[in-house]
Amino acid sequence: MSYRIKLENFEGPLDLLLFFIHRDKLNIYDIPISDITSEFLEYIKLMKILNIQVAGEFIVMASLLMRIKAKMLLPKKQNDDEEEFEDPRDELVKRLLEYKQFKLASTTISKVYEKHCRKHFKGAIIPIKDQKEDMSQYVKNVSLFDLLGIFKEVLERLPDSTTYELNREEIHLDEQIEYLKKMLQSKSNINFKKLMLSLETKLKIIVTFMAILEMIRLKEITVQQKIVFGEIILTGYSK
Amino acid sequence: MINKNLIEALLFSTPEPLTQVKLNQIIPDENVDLREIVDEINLEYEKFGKALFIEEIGGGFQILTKPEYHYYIQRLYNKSKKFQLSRPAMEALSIIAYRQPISKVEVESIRGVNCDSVVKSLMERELITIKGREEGLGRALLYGTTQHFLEAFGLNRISDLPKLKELSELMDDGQTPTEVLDASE
Repeated sequence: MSYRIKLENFEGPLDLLLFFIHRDKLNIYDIPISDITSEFLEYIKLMKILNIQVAGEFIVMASLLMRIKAKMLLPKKQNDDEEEFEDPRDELVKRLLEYKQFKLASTTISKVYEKHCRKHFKGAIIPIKDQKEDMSQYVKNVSLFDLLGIFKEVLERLPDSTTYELNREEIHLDEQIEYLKKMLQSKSNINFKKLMLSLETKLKIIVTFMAILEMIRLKEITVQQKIVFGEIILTGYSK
Repeated sequence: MINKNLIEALLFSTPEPLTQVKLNQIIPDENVDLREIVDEINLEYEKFGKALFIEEIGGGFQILTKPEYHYYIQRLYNKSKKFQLSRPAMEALSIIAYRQPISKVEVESIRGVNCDSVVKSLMERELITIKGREEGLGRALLYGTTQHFLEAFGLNRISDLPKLKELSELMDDGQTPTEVLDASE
């Protein structure tokens, strides 16, 4: 497969960490570094399988996590009376909190903007055409990590095959896109998880997942999630 | 009374907020307090249940339609006047708005990702601009928000931005931004 998905339009390593923290309801001041590190690495691996261009920032974060993990394994120095021992996670916690602060601020400011847009002034210039369309319009409330999470789950559920068949499967991206399109003609929407679970082989799952990402890119479908960690629904995008 | 109608006419005819400074240039001989007259007009609008009101934006005053007509006005235009900012762009814009003047490197260190294209698109939309250079090594460019930003977001000045949530409030609420969004709707 010769195309790559740019992660730039999605999220960065701090988003992934906040995603884990929120999903598992972790205490941000007491992050289980060891678990988080291995899961972080696993997600990077998943992104690689899917040909998502893993930004250097993810690698940097992975190495930071491993460094913290290593530091935490070292025996703590007994500083006689002083209770002041530095937690190797402090710096990371600070960054996460600061980032979260601005993430919240940006949704608040978006709301301020939305609200202001309901009031109109005379002689407003209507932008002729938005030079760059906002891709996040097509992905409503779903982060890439939500999709990856289900992808991972589905891969894990596949039964280990004990016999090996040597006939090679031929599944093309185009075929899967057609398949999804046909499905959307008969149904108004598709449940992402059910769809994934209905596929029998790893290759098929991977190609279908890529087909979905490609269709989001081509604005042929939208992806929605009504509640956080709820079901993810695919619908055809109507112009 | 002439003043009031004159101000209304001026406000009506310009798409940009009208400032006291601008007004003084237009009628140099008279000493007119713009805010005072705007308040009067607003009272009148309210009294007669008009569709318009005047709001203080970006250091001036602008005549606007009431939000309840948004739905129909939008249909009139047949196209949204809104610009769409991606989430990354919105995040970078918020960081710049609260921390200005700020260098791109600092924005990147908060977001944890490269912000080249995001900063570029915010510049293209004239929401941010270069405000100067950093002291010291490298003399990095410093960015800040523009007058256009205030007008687009309906803010009078930067200090009118909603307060940042305290870090201590963030620690155990366990909320994601989307949840906050849902709750306030």
